[in-house]
Amino acid sequence: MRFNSLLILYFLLISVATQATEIPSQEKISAVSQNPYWKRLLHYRKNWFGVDKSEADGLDFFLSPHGKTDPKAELQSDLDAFQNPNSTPVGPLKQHAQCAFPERYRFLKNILALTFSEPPCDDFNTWKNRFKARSVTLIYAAAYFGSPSSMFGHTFLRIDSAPREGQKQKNDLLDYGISFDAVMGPNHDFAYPLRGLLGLYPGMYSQMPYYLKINTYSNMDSRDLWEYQVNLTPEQIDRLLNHIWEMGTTHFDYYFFNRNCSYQLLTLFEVANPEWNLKNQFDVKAIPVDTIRSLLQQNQAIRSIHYRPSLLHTLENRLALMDESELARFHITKNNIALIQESDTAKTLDALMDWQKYEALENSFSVEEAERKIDFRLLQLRAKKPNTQENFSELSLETPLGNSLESSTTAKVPLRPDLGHLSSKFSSFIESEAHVGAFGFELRPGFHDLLDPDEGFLPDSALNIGRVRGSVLLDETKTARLDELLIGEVVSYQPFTRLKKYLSWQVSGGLYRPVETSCTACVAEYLQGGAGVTLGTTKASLSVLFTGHTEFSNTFNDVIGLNYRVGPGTLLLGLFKISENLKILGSLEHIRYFPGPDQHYLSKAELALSYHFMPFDLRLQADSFASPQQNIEAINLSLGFWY
Amino acid sequence: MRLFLIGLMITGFTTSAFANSAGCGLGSLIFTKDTIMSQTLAETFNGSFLTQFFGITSGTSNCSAHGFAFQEKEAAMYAEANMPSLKVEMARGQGENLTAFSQLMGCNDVSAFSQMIKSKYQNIFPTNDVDAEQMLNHLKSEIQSDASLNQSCHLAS
Repeated sequence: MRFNSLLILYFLLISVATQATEIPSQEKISAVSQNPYWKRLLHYRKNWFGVDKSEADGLDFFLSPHGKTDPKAELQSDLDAFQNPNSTPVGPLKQHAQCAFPERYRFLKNILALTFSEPPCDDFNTWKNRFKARSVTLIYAAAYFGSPSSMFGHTFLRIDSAPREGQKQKNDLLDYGISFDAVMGPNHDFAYPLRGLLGLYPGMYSQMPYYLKINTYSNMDSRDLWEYQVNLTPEQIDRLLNHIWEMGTTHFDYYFFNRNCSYQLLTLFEVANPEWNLKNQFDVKAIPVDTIRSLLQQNQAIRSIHYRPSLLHTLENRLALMDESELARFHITKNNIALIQESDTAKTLDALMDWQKYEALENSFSVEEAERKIDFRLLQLRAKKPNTQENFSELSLETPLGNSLESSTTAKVPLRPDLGHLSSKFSSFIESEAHVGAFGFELRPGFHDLLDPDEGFLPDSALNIGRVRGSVLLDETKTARLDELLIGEVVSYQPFTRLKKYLSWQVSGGLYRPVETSCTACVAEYLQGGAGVTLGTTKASLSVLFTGHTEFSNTFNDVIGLNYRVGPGTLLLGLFKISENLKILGSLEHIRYFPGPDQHYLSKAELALSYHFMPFDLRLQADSFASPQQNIEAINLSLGFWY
Repeated sequence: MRLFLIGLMITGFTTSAFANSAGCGLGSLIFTKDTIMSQTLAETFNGSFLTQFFGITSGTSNCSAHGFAFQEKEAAMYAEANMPSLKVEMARGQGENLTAFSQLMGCNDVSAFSQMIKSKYQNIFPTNDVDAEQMLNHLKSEIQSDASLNQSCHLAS
C-alpha cells in the first residue's frame, strides 16, 4: 500500500517535471519546423520561383495567419492551440485543433515529447473507426473519351475495410472511396475548360461508397478499373487516414494538368510512408498513370493488382463464351427483345440482361427509370433458368506484378495501363521535302498517337497536347523552320462492332506549316475536326470521315488574296496492326477550300510505318501534297524515344 | 442522351431531401437531367456538383454521418442506388452486387439467400414497377416465411 502511494507520488512528480518543460525552446521549434515531415503535412513545395510555400488554399488549414509561407509560425500557433483546451474551434465542424489536425498533433507530440490534455474528438474517431481499415487501394479508372477530363484516366483511393460482422470475406463494393475532385459549384459556363487549366476551381476531397464509383465508371462510362493495393502497415494506414481528415479543413486550387486528382493523392502516400518521395517528379504535368508508376518505382509499394472489367467488357467476355446459336439468338433478340423464348439458354439471357442494363443506364435520367427499362419478361425467364458456372461480374483478376498477364480464365484482359509506353516522347528525324533535305526534332509531352503501340491505352485513339516539331534545312540557307505546334489533338476511331456502332471523330488545333505553299517560314493557325465511321477490327480498320477545316495565315494572300481559308474535306484512313511491333497507317484526304478560285483544293496522301522496340520506335513516312499550284512529295525517317 | 451518377453523393450524403421511408430518396434524384453540356461539365476535371464534403457533412443528412451511410439505412440506400444491377443479378441468382446486398441484409449464407430470391422472383417483383422500398418489403416477408433464412439472416430492423 505504502509502496503504491510512493509510486503514484513518483509519477506525479515526473509529470509535474514534464509539465514544467512543456514549452520547447525556440531552437527546438525552429528545427522541427524545418523537418521534412512537418512540411509535408503542411503541403509545402518550392514553386517555380524558388519560394517554399504550402499548396493548400483553404485558410482553415492554417492556424497562423502566416501559415501558408512560414512553417515555424504555423508550428507555434498549432502548439498553442493544442495546449489550450479552449482554443478557437477549427473549420466547419468546429473541432478542437487536436481533432482537426490529428496527424500534426501526433507528430508534434512525439517529436517534442510533450503531454497534452486531450479532448474527446468524437467526430474524428467515429469517422476513422467506421472504416475498420485493413489496407488501401489506389484505383485507376481507364481513359474515357466521353469527356475532356477523363481522357487521361483518373485515380482515386479505396479504403479496404475488414470483413463485416459475421462475414468471412469482405466485399469490395461495401468499401468507401476517397477522391480529390474539382468542385464546380452550381454556376458554370462555357469557360469551364479554361478555368480548369488556370486553377480557378477549388479541388477538395470527398468520400463515397465504392459501389457508387463502380456505377459511375464501370457501368455508366464503361471504363475498366485497375485496383493497385498499396503496401502499407497498420501504422501507415493510420497516418493516411489522419491526414485525409485534415484535408477536410481546406481546398487546393485544381489545375487540370499538374495539380489534379492524381497529384494530390500522392501527398497522402508521402505522409503514410515518409520514405516515399513521389510528388517531386511531377512539375508541369501529372498524368494519372504516371503517378501510379511513381509508386511502382518505390520498393514494394504495390502489393497486388486487380482488374475489374467494365460492364461492356464483361458483356464481351460473356459473348466470347457463347456458342454460335446462342450468339445468333443474342444478336436477333438484342434489338427486339419481344422475340426471346423459353428455349433461349441462360447464357443468352445473361448477355441480354447485361446489354439491357447497359442500354438502360445509357438512356435514362434516373435509376428508377433505368431499372424499369430492363425487360420484365427477360428477367422472369432468366429467373427460371439454372445458375451458370462463370460469373463475370465477380471477375476481379489478380494480376502478377511482372510484365506478363497470364489469365486463368477465358476472359480477355487488356494490358495493364502502367505497362503501356511512357507518356512523353522525343524524336529526331531526317527528311526530304521537294528534294530539299532537312534535319529536325519533335517533342511530345503527352500522350499517345495512332502509330504508337496500343497496349495499355484505348485502342484506335490518339491524344496529344503541346507537340512541337522543328527542323533545319540541309541546303546552303540552313533555314530553321517550325513544322508544327500542336495545341491539342483527340482522335477516336473505334470500329463498329456487332454490339455497338461507335461514332468515329477527331479534332485538333494549333499551328502548322502549309507545305503546299512552299513558304519555308510560314505557319498557319488551324482548327479542324471530323466525324464518320470505322469498319473492321482493332487489327485492321478503315475509317471514313467528313472533316471541316479553318485556317489563318498571311501566306494564303499570295494565292487567294485573303488571309484565311475554310473548307470541307473527306478523309479515308486505314490502320493496320501487322504484329505486336509493327503498325501501318495509310490515309487520303481531299479538302476543298473556300473562298477562293474555283480550283482551290488540297489533296494529301500519307503512308506511314512504325516499328517499336521499347523504349524506341522507328518511323518511315511518305507524304504527297497536291494543289493547283504544285505537287510536293516528302519522305521522313524518324527515331523516337519514350521517357 | 446520357446519364451519370456523379451527383449521387449530393443527394445521398448532403441534402436532407429524401422522400420515402425505406431509403434516402436516392432513386429519383440520382441522375441529373442530361444534356451534353451538363454531362460534360460534371465529368470535366473529374468534377462534381458536390457542395459539401465528408468531414463536414455531419448532421446534414438523415442518411449519413461523417460521409458514411447510417448503418440502419445502409441496405436501403444500397438497394436504391443499385436497383438495375440487383434486378438482373437476382434473376441470375448470383453476382457481386447481390453478394454485397446479402451482407447488408445480414444474411451470411449468400447462396441460400440468392437462390431463395431467384425462386421467389415473381413475389419480389410482381410487376416491373417495383421500387427499392417495395422490393425490400417483399424480400423481408419472403425471408420471414423461409424457415432456414429466417434463422440465418440477422435483419437490420
